[in-house]
Amino acid sequence: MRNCNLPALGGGAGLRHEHFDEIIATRPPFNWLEIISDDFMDFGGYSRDRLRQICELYTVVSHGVCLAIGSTDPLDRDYLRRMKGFCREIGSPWTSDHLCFTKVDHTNMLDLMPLPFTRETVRHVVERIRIVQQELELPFLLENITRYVTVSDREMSEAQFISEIVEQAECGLLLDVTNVHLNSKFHGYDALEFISSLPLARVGQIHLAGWVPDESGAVIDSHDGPVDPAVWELFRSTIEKTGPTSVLVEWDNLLPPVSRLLAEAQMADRMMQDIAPREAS
Amino acid sequence: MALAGVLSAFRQLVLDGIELPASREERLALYRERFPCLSAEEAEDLSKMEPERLALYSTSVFSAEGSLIQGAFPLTVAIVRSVWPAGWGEFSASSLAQRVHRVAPWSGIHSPSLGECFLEFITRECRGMQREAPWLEESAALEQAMLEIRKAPDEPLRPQAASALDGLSAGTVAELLAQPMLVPRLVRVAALSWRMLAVRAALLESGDLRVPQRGHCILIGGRPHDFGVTWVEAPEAVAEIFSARRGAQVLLSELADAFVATAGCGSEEDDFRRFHDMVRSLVSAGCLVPAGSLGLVKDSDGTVA
Repeated sequence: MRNCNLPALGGGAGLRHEHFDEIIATRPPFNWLEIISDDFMDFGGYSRDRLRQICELYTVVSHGVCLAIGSTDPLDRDYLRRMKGFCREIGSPWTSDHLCFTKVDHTNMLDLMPLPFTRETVRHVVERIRIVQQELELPFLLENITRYVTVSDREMSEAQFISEIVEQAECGLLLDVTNVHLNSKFHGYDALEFISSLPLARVGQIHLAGWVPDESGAVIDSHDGPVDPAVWELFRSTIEKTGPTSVLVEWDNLLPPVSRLLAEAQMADRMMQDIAPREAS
Repeated sequence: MALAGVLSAFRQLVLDGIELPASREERLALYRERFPCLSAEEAEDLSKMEPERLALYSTSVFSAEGSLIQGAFPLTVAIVRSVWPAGWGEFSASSLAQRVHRVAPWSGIHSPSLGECFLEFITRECRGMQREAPWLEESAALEQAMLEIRKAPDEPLRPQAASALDGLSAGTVAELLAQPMLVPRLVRVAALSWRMLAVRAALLESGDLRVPQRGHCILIGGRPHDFGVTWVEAPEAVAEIFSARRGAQVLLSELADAFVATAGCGSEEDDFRRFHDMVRSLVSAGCLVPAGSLGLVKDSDGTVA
């Protein structure tokens, strides 16, 4: 298995509302676009209308933030049913969400909260991913998150935790290289060693994002700047191991012009072409 | 069950404003007391999390929630800010979101359900503010209705321009009045005692928060083909039909009867002209969609099939 048996789409970018009209009008040469499915799937109106138009122009891939795969609240089957219909509507070749919890005690946490790296959590998440895959009938990828704390690592490391889950659930891995880089700084480990220990054949997509440090120089995963040179370097080392894949540049805050976003996506694409030329599909 | 306890404790540490001691030993003692369902190992693991790192999550959550509330309720938040009690500390969107969370934690995933939490906060926690700004609750209800209209799923029949009515007007008055129309599900009715729309428009245009003028009006809101939320003033009896028949068909004659009963001036010609203008506005605002030409039929409950 390579690239989780998914098509390698090359460099793409996260689609945000502010760019809709310009993208429709100018049709910049993105290989593909990713959307936050939760921003669209239950809504109509302007955004949904523009998304329909963009889906006619580009391959659009769904990426979720509200599945709460690690939560102990019941898995929302109705959400999965709506997600399935939405993915079909936009022709998404796969979908993904985060290895975290975003909701617990029926309270929306509005952020990607870290899980304890325990065998119990592995069993719990694997069971829920199996249900997700059955319901969606679509390849499902799980993304590693940035985390500022360790809830528990007494039973296993984060890399073991991720590996066991994607292997046992037989799902894909959306490898966020920026998150690995930031976590390596926050928690003091070697980022490339971490990546090398993951089941890389299951990587079906990569995320890259940037940040702007705050006044004190502190960094969080803010998605508000260009990709950092250190992350580009880690990305290069990663694709040397994974081979061709689909790489997505996320830029969610302090949005740049479309041309700047395109330049980042093309940078990712060029780097991948240098390292691992994309096969003709 | 152990995982559920750990996640629940994490939620409380992030969202509930618990003062966390700087020393790990003191945190461990606090967690053992506060989270008795945790095992000794779980409590110990959680105590290793540094308070300043946990605070990043708290900041992120309430900042995001505050931004969502401010984006959907610009007028209401501006009013709240203008009458923010001194005892509540400095106003910020985040501090507002924290207070909303304490009263009505957000259980949904979409902004209209967050709006409902905000409305509950206004109703339950802002009585003092409402004495200073009696239009506060009305503003919140109006902006919640706008949020619901803007975010509502698309419906089978798309809104049309008012000119769609011109073709229907070509026949006799009787033929026109027999036209079936659809009231989209997303339509909302707002009964206002203050001229809030003018105040909202001024705020968005200039940033100035004005005191609204008194003025009773009934508004029907819809989503036109360009997707902006548009309100049309209508007589109460007409608005009642819109409230009761969302997602169902209505004949123009029913609206005409209600119009004449509450807003008729005695001159048939003048009444018809004013009624026709109102219907054109309602069509243009996406509150009414001509349905007859598409051969739509009603289910027994009046829902359009």
